[in-house]
Amino acid sequence: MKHVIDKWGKSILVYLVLMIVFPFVMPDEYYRSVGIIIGLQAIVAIGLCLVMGLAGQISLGQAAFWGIGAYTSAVLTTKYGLPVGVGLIASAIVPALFAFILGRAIAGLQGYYLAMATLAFGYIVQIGISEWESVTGGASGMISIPKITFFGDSELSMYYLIWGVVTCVLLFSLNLLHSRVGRAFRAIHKSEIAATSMGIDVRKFKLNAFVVSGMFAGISGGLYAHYIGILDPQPFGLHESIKFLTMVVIGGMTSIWGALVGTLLIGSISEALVLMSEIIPGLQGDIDTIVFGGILVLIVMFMPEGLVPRIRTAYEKAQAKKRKASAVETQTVERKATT
Amino acid sequence: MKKNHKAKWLFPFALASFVLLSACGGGAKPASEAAPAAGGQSAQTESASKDPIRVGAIFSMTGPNSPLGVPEKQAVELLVKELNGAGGVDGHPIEVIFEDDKSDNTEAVKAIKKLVSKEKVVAVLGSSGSGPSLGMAEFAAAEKLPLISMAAADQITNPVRAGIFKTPHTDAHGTKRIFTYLKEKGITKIATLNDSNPYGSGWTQQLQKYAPEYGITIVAEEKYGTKDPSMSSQLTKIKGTDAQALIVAGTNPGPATIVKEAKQLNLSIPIISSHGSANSKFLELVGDAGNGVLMVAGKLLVSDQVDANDPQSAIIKKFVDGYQAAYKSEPDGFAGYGYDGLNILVEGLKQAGGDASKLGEVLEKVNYVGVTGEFKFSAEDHNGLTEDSMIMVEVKDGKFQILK
Repeated sequence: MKHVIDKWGKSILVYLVLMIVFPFVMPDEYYRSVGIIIGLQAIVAIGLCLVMGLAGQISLGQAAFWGIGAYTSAVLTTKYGLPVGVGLIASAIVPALFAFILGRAIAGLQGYYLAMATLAFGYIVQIGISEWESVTGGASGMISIPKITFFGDSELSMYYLIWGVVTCVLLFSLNLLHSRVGRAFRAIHKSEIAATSMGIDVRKFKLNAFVVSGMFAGISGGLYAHYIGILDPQPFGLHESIKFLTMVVIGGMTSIWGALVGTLLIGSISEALVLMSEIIPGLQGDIDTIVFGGILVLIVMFMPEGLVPRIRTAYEKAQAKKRKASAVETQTVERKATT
Repeated sequence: MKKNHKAKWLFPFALASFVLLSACGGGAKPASEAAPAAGGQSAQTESASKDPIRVGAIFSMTGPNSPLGVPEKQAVELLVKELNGAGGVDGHPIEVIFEDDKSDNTEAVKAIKKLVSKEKVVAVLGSSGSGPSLGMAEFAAAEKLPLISMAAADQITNPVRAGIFKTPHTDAHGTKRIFTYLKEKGITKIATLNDSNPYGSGWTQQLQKYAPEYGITIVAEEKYGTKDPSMSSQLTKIKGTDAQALIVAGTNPGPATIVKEAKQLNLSIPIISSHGSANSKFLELVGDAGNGVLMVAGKLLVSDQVDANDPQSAIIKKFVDGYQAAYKSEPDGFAGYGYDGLNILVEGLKQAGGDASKLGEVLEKVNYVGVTGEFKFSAEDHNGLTEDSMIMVEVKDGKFQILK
């Protein structure tokens, strides 16, 4: 236990406790399904965080990897009758391959150009899904995608399955962050030129981050397909990509925890707005998009590093102050003892 | 200081144990919550006039499907008032709990789960769009919850699933009705120009499927994107073929743009548009260019021209008058889908004698004359409509004229 805490900090304990007890605090089935959707988004957001925060890249096409993952598993299981497990494994591999090819092609791009390229990729995938009717069912989509049953198909078991995956993804990413690879990523984020001069193969690292993020998005997509049971191209567009981006930016790009906190925050605000709209009817509908936009603007203006890094800095400052105070205290005690 | 540190450590554990405790309590909670509900059920037999029947309704109030969802919700609200004014179903008032799916599949599935777990509804109406409806149907079928959808896709009721129904005419009905008309006119070669969204691509499939049956050849098959500003390149291609008529399936504004551009390109063959664009918005968008355009639609579109001997004429008149009085506007086909949906559900509830668990089976036997058409449900047909309840109309001087 001590070892785990030393390695990842106390946050992991708080996370585990909250994650495990949540479905019992909210014994309502509905909040479990909200928890599942948030978990699915968190997996994508953590992957995107690796690309954006660590490797300093931008991706406006994350929903495309999500969609590729979803369709891969759905097509394999529904059309070809393969077991769900095989579909899910394929839903990790196929998007990673796409990410690899895309990453190779656009590895030299930076800033706006990279944003444009990923944006275009997102559109291509969404149009591709709509047009490849013989496989994807086109715009009318696919129905009767089998459920994941190896844990039982209740909302609760699905919740633990999804959050189990979130935990794995989280631990993997945190581990990566604390390794040589993570340090290399941060060096690239600060300055690509400096990183290159330190002997870091910038191209290779960027590509790796891209592939890993594609894989995470794909896993989440596969789980989504089996959870919802139907697919059409609607959820895999730019709107969703921007939502993922917002989650990462609000939480703080440079922190893996930030991605998780950002996702939770967006999810909880959505739900809070739904609850409030029952009292104030004016809050119905697309109001959440406006609220998210507003939060994003405020974050970018006043807290460009994001919520989690800001809170962490504030906490560390407070700790340092305390340490100073206690140091003074012990000094006086020691002095008293000597006299 | 040290003590303080320890206390901080204790906090998450204290929280965890507290929460676990409440979790054990939580396990018992649904039971205590269920108790009043059960009490309510027993009260139902004693004092029948009190308990409302809770029905969920999920419509797309925002997002791209909102032109469908808003009139659907208005029609349902109107009907609820009317039903409860007349004493509800066997003395039980109807209570409809509305949710907005924001035209999004995931939101729709979340909404139906909420209606079932939190609101304990006996049946659900909706949604407006095909994607959200299919997602909801997947859940409803697994939960054995009756669902009546207002969306077009054939997949919702084909294959038939227990408890899943829908009210609008399908693309197959529209296709057959148009082909019957073309056959009467001796037209055998057609071109199609359909939206690439689920609605248009559903039509494309049905047109292909039924063309041979009616001796019709599709000589050009084009499509356009929902947001495309111009379709002149597709129309130019079609002009170069020997097609004798052009079929357009899409929702506004696409078909209106096509009609206007066809006029500019002097495309002289008749244009037949689907029921997806058959509303006053289309007339507004096409203006003078619309003259002579043919459309396939439900009778509600020309409510003032429906023959008095038509079985539907009474209910159409009642609905149109009520809707106009309440909302100061003409109801369109979508409002009709919502109106019929709740009426069919009420018919089912009446036949089931208030027993919601029988609703799924009973709905299969419902025969009901609605504003959309005459519904005859059966174990094999959960849409219950035929192409005979559709009519061909022509646009004349900014108005729809029924074609005899």
